[in-house]
Amino acid sequence: MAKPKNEKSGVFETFLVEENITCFDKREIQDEESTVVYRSYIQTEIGDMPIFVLLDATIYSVVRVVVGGNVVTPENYQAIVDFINRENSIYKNFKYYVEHDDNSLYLDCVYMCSNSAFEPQLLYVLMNQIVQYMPSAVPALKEAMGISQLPDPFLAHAHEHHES
Amino acid sequence: MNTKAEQFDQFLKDREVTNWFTKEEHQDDVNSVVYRGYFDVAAQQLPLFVVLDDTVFNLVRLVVTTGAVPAEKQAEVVEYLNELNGKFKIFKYYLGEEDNVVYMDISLPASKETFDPNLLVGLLLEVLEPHIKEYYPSILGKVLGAEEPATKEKGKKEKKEKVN
Repeated sequence: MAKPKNEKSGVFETFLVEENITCFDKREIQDEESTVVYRSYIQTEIGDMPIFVLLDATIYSVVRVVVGGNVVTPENYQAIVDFINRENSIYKNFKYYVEHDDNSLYLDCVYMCSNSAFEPQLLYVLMNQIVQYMPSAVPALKEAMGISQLPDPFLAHAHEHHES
Repeated sequence: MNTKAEQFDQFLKDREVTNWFTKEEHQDDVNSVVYRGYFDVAAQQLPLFVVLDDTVFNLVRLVVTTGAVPAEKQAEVVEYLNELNGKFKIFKYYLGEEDNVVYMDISLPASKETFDPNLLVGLLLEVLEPHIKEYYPSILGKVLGAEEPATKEKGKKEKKEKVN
């Protein structure tokens, strides 16, 4: 059976070209849902937070921010959960959660629509809301996480180079 | 009344759904219309709200617990809500900051041009209702501090694998 078609990524890319938006790296995932991932970064005073737009053949489009990769510890867990419950109760369009598999703090915004109703402008508005919100959340995040700088998001992908 | 509420009313009328919601029209800046209904879950009636207005932000809110979560149970409940938030893409659970009631929100952004009442009702009946019927006993178990009820945990995570 043919894979379902991801009709949203083409529409999104046309929008990016028209709006001269060049901040995303694109990666196509060879999965059953024809997922395409667009990656960028939110710059904050505690470091860069990777932000992803995930588009696929389903009705779900996701904006995901890695707010703190591998920052959750037994010591700061309760403070982080208290922080995210407070923020989740205030802000309508996104949610935070802790993922125990990788001890990380994520923020997701889900945009549901049929492929024919997909509006890239609306997705971009949702993403921009998060980009504008995040610096205001940083002081409370720093306190909850108990750190002054985020781990380098590139560190996991770093290659060692040796002088010969 | 706002355009999306008119579309929603027409959709319900066409399907002869007359007794699910009561409707409140608010005279505010965004012409909000609030639809109030219930889900019958485990011999409880859980209040359900659908809020449509002139903005692109549409909201579904379910009041999961009818009373406040006892102070001594709140940490455990918030931890479990975080677990649900990580597991399920579209649902956002939280403990209300003011009233300590468990809420669940679904954000359904759409402009008036692409608002789809069929998607909204499908979401309520085919996604939200089965989900809350399955997970309500375990949420209540955390609230009451009872033994874990026999909620059947789905093994497969609904959301995508993390992309870093």
